[in-house]
Amino acid sequence: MSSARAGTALRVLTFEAGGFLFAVRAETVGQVIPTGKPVPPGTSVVDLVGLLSIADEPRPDRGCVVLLKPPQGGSKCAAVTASRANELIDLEGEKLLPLPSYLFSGGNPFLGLFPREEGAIFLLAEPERLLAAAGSR
Amino acid sequence: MRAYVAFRLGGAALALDATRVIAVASSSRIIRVPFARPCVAGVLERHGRLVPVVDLALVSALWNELPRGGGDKVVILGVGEIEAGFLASAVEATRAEETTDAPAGAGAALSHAREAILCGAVRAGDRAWGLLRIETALAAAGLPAQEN
Repeated sequence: MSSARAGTALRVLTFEAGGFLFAVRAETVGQVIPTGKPVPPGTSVVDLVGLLSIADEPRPDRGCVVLLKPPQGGSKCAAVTASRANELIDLEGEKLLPLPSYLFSGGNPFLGLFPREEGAIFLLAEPERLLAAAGSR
Repeated sequence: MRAYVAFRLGGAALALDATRVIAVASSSRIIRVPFARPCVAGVLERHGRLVPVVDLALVSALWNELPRGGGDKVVILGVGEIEAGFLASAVEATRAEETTDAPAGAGAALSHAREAILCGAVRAGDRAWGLLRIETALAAAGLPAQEN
């Protein structure tokens, strides 16, 4: 796993799910696929929107799938569902604050968060870690 | 008489030695964290670090009768090498003395909390609070808190 380095600009793609604002590093994004369009065969899709949905609420909006490039040396793509993909923005790496792992019972799915007046941005680690975190809550 | 910070956790009237408390913040500043454990209310940014905030009312092991959760304030304290906060309401500074004889009416409020998280009681006039064993409570909430 690579980590955000202090003192560097970090280009990320932001997207929304479950009322939260998430981000992945821009260089890891393959493409944003609108819901209904097929994802490449063999892609492991993590339903982030579904994981954050509340049982009694109406069907959550899965507007798109953020497809990530295969990790170095790998061939399988991973993807996460999102309500909406927003924009590519630059964040200051040194403003990334790590979240303590003891906040999560199933492992920390984030590299950290960027606190901002208009709402924090949670920088995702590998999508597989979301499944572990969601499954053990 | 010593200085204490008194507060309510649901129906329980509790207090901490004031020297343990670093700050009291508004709970409106809490950043909710997706996928965190249910008793984690979120985090607060403080001096460039994230302070975990727990809702002790949601830790069932601490209570005989589960209190109502939430609170409009976060009481922040140092726990070992970290800072941690918990949700509370009706937070106030008070001067009180330790007692073994809680006034009538206080008993019901204190009975919400299990004895394991109390290390005595303090009173000021006709008011009384259970002294919270904060390390025990935070450890039960999953934070890396150690008993002194």
